[in-house]
Amino acid sequence: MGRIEQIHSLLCKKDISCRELTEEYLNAIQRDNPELFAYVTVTAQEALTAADKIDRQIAQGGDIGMLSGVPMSIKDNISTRGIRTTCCSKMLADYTPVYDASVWSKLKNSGAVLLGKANMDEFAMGSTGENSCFGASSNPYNTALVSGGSSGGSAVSVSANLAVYSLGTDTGGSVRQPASFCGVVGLKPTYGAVSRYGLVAFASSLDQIGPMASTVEDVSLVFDSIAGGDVLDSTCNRDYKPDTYKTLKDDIKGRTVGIIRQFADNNSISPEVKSSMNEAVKTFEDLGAKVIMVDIPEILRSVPVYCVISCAEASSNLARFDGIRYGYRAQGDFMSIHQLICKSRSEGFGKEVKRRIMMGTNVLSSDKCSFYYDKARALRQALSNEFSRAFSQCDVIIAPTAPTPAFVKNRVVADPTVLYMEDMCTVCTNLASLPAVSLPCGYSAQGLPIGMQIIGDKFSESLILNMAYKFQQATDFMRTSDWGVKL
Amino acid sequence: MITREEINNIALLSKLFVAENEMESFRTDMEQMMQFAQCVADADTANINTDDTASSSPMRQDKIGTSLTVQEALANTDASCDGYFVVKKNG
Repeated sequence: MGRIEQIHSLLCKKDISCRELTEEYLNAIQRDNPELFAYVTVTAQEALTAADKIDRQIAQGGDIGMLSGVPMSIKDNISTRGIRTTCCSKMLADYTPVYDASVWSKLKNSGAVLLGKANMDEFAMGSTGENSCFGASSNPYNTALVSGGSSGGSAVSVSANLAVYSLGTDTGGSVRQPASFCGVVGLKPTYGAVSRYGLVAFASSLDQIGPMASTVEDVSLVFDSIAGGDVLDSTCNRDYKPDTYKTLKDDIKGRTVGIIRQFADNNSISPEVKSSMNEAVKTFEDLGAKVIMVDIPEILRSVPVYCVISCAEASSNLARFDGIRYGYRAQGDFMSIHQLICKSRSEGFGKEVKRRIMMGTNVLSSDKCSFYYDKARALRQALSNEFSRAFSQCDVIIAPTAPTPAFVKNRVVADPTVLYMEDMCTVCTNLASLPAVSLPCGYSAQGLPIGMQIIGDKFSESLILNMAYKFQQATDFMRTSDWGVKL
Repeated sequence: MITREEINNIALLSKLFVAENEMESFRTDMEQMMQFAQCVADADTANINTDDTASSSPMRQDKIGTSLTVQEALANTDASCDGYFVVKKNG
């Protein structure tokens, strides 16, 4: 049984009130957050008000939904009306949205209890959780290690039992990689499966909001609640109404699982990760699946392609931050509006964000666009074509989520692109608009979690979560944490 | 090799200032990032059809609906006056 179902049962049987449950979480956050820094804003008052409302519903004998009264967190780039939404940037440190993101509206209507906003890499740019203007989140398995990113705070909040589930965002692996580093489950949905309305955009053709939780069942329940059409996001598929929970326990006997030759042969992937993947292959075979090798050569070029496309889109999206309508405004006497905007942006954005904006501006400039941006788009299409061919041979593809387990904080790298390669296993699915779920598939010699992705064809969340559930049930990689709330 | 002049030009287009003490670091970072992306520029993409990457968005009727109030629109600015955003006058 997943944690959400467990809490639902406790609330319905009146074994615990929603207020008591929420207070447990708030107390745990007060105790553990200074060390882990999962949250940048704690919404205690709002959480207790929501909890009291659920308790009244239960007292009146009303039925409550599965997500009603379940305490959760939201990454701080998803708009929450009246609650500051900072993107962990000095640029938005005092910004309070006047509207809700569609995902939050849906969850609020389902009775969700928001505990607070989760720490993240500034504007979702980073894969360590260290690029936050408020300070880095820490890995619950070892606080000297990175949480992963950019949805680092979300992963930590779930891993350390400081939230039952969280919403993260994934542009190039930002849900899956921190999920892998912190030993939790994270889903990057198909592009267009979940509304992006109210998400502060980084790269609009790649961004997706996805759930993170400690079990596949929980991720499935949250995904079913947030997925589906939205008139406020024209890229959101209006005909998609998934019910992944219903098919979670289906038999997977006879399914074909692909493994990517270009990762199997890759020296950048650590031996420990490869060994866990080999074990995972055996588990799927034991479950009755057939395993085959598939070729996706373009995957080797996917990080540079991603770098060009995501930076180009970021340079355009982040042009809106002018310091005038909202966001950080530089102080002083300026000669022109141009000077005011440049100064505000230069002081408000952190270094990684400025680096990516400038890279994006450069590759979109008239003399370079046809060499970089246009070709990157073509290579993205070639990658998609290769995935389509692979899915004509297999039902799902499995791959490592990250080339290594979590590493130490403050790693000194002279070249920014070294850290970009941390995303070498994940960016391909964003470029090809595919869904992928990451779940624990082993532990390193140091006891650190290792994650595996199950990648599916577009809008096949039901199948990949079904495969993930069966794998979870057949293995014992879900660990309980010493941190946070003990249920 | 990316020059300081090129960095200043990119910064100007990006509406950013690069301070003198940050110049060398931004210049080398940009050089490394462009080097990283060189395999994209070197790729032969002539035979890849990108027409099917474009998909059409559903259209909606153009109807007047509710929007932000002036007060909401101004809620996050540091400088407003008489219901307007305050900007620096050019010139």
